Amino acid sequence: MRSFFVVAATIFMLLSGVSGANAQTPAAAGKPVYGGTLMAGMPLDLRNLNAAIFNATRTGQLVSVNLFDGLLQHSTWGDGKLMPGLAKSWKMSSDGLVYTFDLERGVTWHDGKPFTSADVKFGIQDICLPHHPVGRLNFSNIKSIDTPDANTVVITLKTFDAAFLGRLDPKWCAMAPKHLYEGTDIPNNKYNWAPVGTGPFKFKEWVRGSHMIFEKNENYWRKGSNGERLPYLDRLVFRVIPDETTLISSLESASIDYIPPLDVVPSAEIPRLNKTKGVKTITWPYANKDIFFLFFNMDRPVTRNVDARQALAHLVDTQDIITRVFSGSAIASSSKDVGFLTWFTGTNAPYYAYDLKRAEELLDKAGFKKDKDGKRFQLNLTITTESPEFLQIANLLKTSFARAGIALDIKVYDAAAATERVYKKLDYDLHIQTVAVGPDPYLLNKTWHSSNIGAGWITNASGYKNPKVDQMLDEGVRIVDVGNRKAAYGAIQNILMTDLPMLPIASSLKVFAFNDQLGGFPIGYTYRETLAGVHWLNAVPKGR
Amino acid sequence: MRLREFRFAALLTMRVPYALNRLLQAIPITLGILIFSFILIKLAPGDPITMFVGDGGASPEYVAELTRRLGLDRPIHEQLTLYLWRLLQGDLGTSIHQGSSVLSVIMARAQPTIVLMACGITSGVIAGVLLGVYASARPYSRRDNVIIVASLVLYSLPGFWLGQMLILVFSVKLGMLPAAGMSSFVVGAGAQWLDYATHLVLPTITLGAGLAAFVMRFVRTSMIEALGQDYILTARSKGLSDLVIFYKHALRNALLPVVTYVGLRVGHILSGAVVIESVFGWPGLGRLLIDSLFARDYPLIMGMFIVVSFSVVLVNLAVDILYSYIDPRIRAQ
Repeated sequence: MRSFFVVAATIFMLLSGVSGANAQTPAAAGKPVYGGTLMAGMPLDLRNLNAAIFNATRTGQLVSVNLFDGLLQHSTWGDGKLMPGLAKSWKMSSDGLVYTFDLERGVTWHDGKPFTSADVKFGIQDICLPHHPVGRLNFSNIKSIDTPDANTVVITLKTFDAAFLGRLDPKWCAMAPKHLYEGTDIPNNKYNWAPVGTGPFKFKEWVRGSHMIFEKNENYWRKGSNGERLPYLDRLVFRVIPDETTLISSLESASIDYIPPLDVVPSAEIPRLNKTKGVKTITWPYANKDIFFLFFNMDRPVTRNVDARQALAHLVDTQDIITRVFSGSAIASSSKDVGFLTWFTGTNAPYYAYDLKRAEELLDKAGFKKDKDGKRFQLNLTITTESPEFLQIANLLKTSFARAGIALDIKVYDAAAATERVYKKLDYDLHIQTVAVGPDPYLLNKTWHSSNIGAGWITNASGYKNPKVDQMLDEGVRIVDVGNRKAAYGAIQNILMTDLPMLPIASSLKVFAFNDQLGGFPIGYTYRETLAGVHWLNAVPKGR
Repeated sequence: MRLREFRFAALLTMRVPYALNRLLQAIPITLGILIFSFILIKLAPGDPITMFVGDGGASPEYVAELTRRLGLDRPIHEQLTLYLWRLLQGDLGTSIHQGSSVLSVIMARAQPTIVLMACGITSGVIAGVLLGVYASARPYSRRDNVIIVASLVLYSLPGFWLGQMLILVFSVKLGMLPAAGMSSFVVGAGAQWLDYATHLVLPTITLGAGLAAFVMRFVRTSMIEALGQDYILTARSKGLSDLVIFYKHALRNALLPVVTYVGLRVGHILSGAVVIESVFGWPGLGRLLIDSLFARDYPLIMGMFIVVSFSVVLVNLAVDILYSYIDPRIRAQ
């Protein structure tokens, strides 16, 4: 399945001669036209719109990226490559400590002021570093930022950081204007709620809980893959519709034109939507490798035993989960052919196929034998309300584990309560959560490094402590040679799949659902693609 | 008409000390709710910082700084004292997630909820009264039975399900009404008020349906009881028309329990609005309350508790005054 998507996307990219940030889905039947409105539906409202100072939730990223640009941007296809953003090119010194960025010419902020290297310096140093939640983690390693001229930025690091360029993606540091932020209380600056950026659309209106309206930036600097002017649309309206069923009904009744891939369209709905008149769906793997993991609490009597963990892994029927929970729209993250880091390392790792007999052998070996009623032990499985798939997977595991004499008690919490119980107090046995292991594998530190035990939302909740892995993870971001880095993470993948603090299950495909008279959606997905390339086909429909 | 206005003014004059007394009583009740809620929220697992920083996590320095800035590093009794002190000065605090004053956030979202509740209650009461009167005119007839069964079904339907069914029929299948929101944002949609009104139809029906069903049953029973009273017989013997007997004598008495009931139900209707606002993407207080709870936005949650509890007290007070206006016996006391 995975290879099918890789091949299909590669063919698309080769045929259309485009890639990465500018890549778009191949033209549907029809000619792109300029103008019109796109109404998108979202299940959540945002906190603020300045991506430079908030660790954008998924919704936040996909909205704010239409207003802001980053210096660079990760490729949408998840190959870890970086695409030009406001920096049209960059050079790294041979020791990997000095980066020189050449900025796009003629870029202006939405208020007409020119974008210059001074904005970049101020943006990184004074906005992102102190005010973005992970700004200090990302940019404390910067020794200096120099601006020899208006179009050149030179950043010098204290030590080599293999992931540094990726940190300039708009997720971690969108460029905000110096002239509107300098000398102000940045977290409370009014432009956080009415932004001025360099993106393809300009802010017009935000009614909390209801909608946001953006208008076309006539002076947008980026061109399409064929040199065409961007954006196509005159107006973007993001409507907040919290109920997922209503959101889908709104698309079916043409009240909205687009539901972004925010996991609100269940995979099981795809066939029905594709048969619905005027509606179309496409699915792409998530470029940042959001994987459904089964966490084992290594501080609990059963799950601290590696044989027991491996036995439980053998009871997870990944293919059954993909079929029944995701209706086939997911990719296995651990199998004979693929490990959860194969996309980066190119190597495979130990895996755990569904095998009841082997699981029972391992449980017996670990000393968890069946009693006279055929029961071994009970575990709690803690999930959140964030995704309906968590409960569906939990129910399948309950059935599957019961075959081996293991009872599962499923506990459901909201995200805030789960953070406290699972990620801070480690008060659980098993837990299901999606964890992004890309676009750069340095993100593994968050969930596998022992310094991140009890450190909050989606951190090392397994309580996994392996000094060797800690050291390898620390060194992983310091390796300059790409080949060596791949080998290092390949070794880490092997250890993690043997120690098994967390079992990778599958990565669901992201569903774009939209009016079939629209085209130009990007290939692949990172949550940070603009809607600049999206357009109506042949003619703008009435009312739009 | 002038006499009626005079009576109402006189009534108000009589009821003002009573109203003030009730309002003063409301202060310790609201304060009690406040302290209880404050402690309850703090005891609930989860914290606003985690939800504020989002799914990408945060550096320890950032978390420490934010905790200090929000005053969450202080002991809970200090936080409570500070909150109450600010409240005395009319300051409900600042929403952690929205960065604006709690009062302004609530005020901005109150209008859609007030409109929705007013429409839902008005339409529910009118429909319930009309159907109740209609059914009571011929008790135990076929039409009475049909109305009773229909009201039972309507009352039993969960709001979120009814809402979804209405969307499916009127939006998806028939394309007659919008599925969600307060505006279509369509280019050339015509008059703004008309666009707003069409968006209001389905949530109003959903909110009003359960109320209509209950009011109908209430009115029907009260009407049947009232129509059997001696004063109705007297009215008939005086030769009054059925219309006058029905609407002036019987209905007026039958309405008394309805007014009490609707007044008492305002809190419940508001909680129903929470669900209905989510289903229809109606950007009111209900949805704001849910969002603030999920985000553990402490100041906003507290602000919502204050506003909602005080509103319920005010509505009950209004009902008391209205009740005495409708019922001459109470007015005389």
